[in-house]
Amino acid sequence: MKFGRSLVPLALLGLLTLAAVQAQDMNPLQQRFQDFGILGDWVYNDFPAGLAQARKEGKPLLVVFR
Amino acid sequence: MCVRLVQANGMDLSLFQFDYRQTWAVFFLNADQVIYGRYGCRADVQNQRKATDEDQNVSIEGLRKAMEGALALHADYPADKAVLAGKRGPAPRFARPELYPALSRFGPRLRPDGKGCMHCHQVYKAERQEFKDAKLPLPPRLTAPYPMPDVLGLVLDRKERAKVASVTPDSSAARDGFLAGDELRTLAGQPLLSIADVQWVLQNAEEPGRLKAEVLRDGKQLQLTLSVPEGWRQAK
Repeated sequence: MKFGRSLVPLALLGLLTLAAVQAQDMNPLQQRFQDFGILGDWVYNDFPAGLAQARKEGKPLLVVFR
Repeated sequence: MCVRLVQANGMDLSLFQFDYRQTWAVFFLNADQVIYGRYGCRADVQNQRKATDEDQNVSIEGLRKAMEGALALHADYPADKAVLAGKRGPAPRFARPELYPALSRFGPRLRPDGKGCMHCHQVYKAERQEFKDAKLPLPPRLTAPYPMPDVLGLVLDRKERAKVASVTPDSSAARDGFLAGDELRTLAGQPLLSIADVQWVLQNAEEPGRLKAEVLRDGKQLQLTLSVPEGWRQAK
């Protein structure tokens, strides 16, 4: 039981650290809008960058206006 | 490659033409800026923020099927390049939204603090304002933009690409011979990935007009014609 209790703060600390690391990688605008609902590799608010990446990788684009 | 755009500032209006009143919209395209399709409809409700998926005629299943269709078109590209040309609209009056006089207070980019954000619906309002300032009557494409195909009697299944859920009795679509269960593969030659793609064809159709439709019925392909009568947009 004691062992279990000591894991909770550790797990919370781990989650907070992960969130902080992810926040560092975020576009400033994404942070400003607290737009944390998107997962995976999205190009945030930069259509020319998305186009360039799609051209480089030969992939299609999914562009979401929201 | 997924791109999220959070504002209309700097938007290429020759490429991104859709119902600007929507709260969200999706484009599938390739790096040559050829459009494979659109996804997302505007809800016919007062409070857009509270609109459900059903109100907006969208669903995860429908989106997944539209994405699969886009990937298939991409795999075959450029085989369908000529027919996909119709998915881009006519040259806009202004290349970017901030060039509209009514939107000149906005810049081409959002400021880093997030201020100066232009919303898509403001583009729609600015377009209407152009006509009002010139004391010209609003064209039907602005008074009743992007009507659902329901107006012609075609009720499409939001969990499919462009499959007829039901046909309104005595409607234009019923007279044209459409039946529940029909899968619309193309309309006016354009491949259809979604209800939004059907709306796009209708939005740009001549009025009155007749649109060729390739339909899959009970596993067999057939050709039908969808009539677009005069004043059809208001005919709900």
